[in-house]
Amino acid sequence: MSKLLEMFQQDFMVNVLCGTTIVAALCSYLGVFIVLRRAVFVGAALAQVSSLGVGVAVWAGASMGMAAGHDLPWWGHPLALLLTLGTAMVFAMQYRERVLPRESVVGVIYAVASALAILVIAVTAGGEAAVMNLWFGNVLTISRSGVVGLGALALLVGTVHALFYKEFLFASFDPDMAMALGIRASWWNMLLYLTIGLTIAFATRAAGVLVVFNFLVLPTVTSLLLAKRMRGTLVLAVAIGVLAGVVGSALSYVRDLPTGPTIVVVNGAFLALAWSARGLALRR
Amino acid sequence: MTLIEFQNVVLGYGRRVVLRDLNFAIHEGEFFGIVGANGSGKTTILRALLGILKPKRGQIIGHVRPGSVGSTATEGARVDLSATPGAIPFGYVPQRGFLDELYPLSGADIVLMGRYAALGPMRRAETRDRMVVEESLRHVGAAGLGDTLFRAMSGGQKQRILIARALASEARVLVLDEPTDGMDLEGQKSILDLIGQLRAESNITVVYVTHRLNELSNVAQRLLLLHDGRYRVGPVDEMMTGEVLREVYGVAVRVEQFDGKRVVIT
Repeated sequence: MSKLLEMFQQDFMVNVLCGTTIVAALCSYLGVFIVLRRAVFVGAALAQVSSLGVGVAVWAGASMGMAAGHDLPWWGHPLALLLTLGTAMVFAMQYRERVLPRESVVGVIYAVASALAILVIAVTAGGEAAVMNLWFGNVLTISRSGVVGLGALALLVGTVHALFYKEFLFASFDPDMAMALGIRASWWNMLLYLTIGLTIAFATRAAGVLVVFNFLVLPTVTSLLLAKRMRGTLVLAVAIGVLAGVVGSALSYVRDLPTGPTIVVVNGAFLALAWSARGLALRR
Repeated sequence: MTLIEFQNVVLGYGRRVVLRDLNFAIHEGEFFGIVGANGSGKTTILRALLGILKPKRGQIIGHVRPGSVGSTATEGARVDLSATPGAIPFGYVPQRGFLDELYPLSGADIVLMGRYAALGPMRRAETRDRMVVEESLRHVGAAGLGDTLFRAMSGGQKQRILIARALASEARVLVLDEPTDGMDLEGQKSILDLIGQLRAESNITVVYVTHRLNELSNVAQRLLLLHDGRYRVGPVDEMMTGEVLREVYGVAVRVEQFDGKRVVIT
């Protein structure tokens, strides 16, 4: 208990809790759209593309004499952002699945981006630490300015979704009827994917591929097991994601465990609990 | 009065042409049937009509009435529907199986989507919209399904919800894609009766797509028959003859009258 109280007196832990809460809330909310659109691996692929951008910057920075995994050239994060948004646009495009299923395009981009990121880091002197940060994240390094940046992102994405929620829902659920009524579903799809790409680029930078992918999928799956309506699903997913983020961060501090994997395991435990609760409810 | 005209329209995907030189009109208030086997191109026509698929050549002209929902055109305007989606608001009733049941949406949630175009971006549904939703649900005999999850409904109930959504959009044209597919006889009859009732009440134009000729042979006013890239279009009396059906489908068939109704016998 004393260690838990001590945690809140640590400046860096306050940053970790705030940053994790914002990443958890944003990713869990957007995850509902991703899971319902049956595009779960879109999140993983975008996170990998973002990490490839940072990987290229790590390599270039090391070539210029910067410390790998610590310093990046100024264009490092903008490159990751551009790559992620560009890929998000590719995923948002509507095309007929005559030759290739949509999911295969996602799979190809995921595999190639992952492999390229590993190769780029492998040829970077001292790049192993950077790999660990990219994949498993290091939420412990979230700074105050990082939290402010994430807050600004949350404000932007939250505003866009508050204004256009019904268009995003309609374009996701029944794009043909939306277009028949003159609503340009392809444009709304683009905007939705832009918010997803933007969030993943920033969230991956703060928390790493694994944690971001976890928040994009697990809270939604848990929520879909428990909630009965769309709005309930969204609210519950955000609540579960935030709770798992806070509990996971606190547990990792108290037990001295790596934070990212602890958050994922807590999310997994919530999912197992929800699964059991649903099973019990169905038996009655 | 002509509502929609296909003028020398060529349709296809990529380099592949599915249908060429389509010339036909859909008149205001009529029951227009499109009949063809799977893969004959009926869904392609439907997608072009809705503005989802742009013609490779030719034009799809809409004769827009002033004051239509979603329309900014002036009186008597002729608009290219593929360039101006929504100029004629279509109430599209897709095949039930095309909608993903994973979404935890209730009947009322789905019917409310019919109001989204009229509401426009950045505006939430108001009391009036919710009243339109309730009225639309009542209209199709689904008043008790507003709070029921879409995935928990039967095929016929789902179809009623989708028709209610089309009505809530205040569409002038109801476009139904295989609405009775997979239903038993009772379900088929109830949906066709509902469409007949809606037409009698509001003079709404109906475009009905199916692969079963017998389903429309006694309710449609005009038919477009599709087979292997060929098509014939005309009043149902002219289309429902052994000669025309043999020409389109290439098989010997007879059209007989039983109890005042046409039946196609192969």
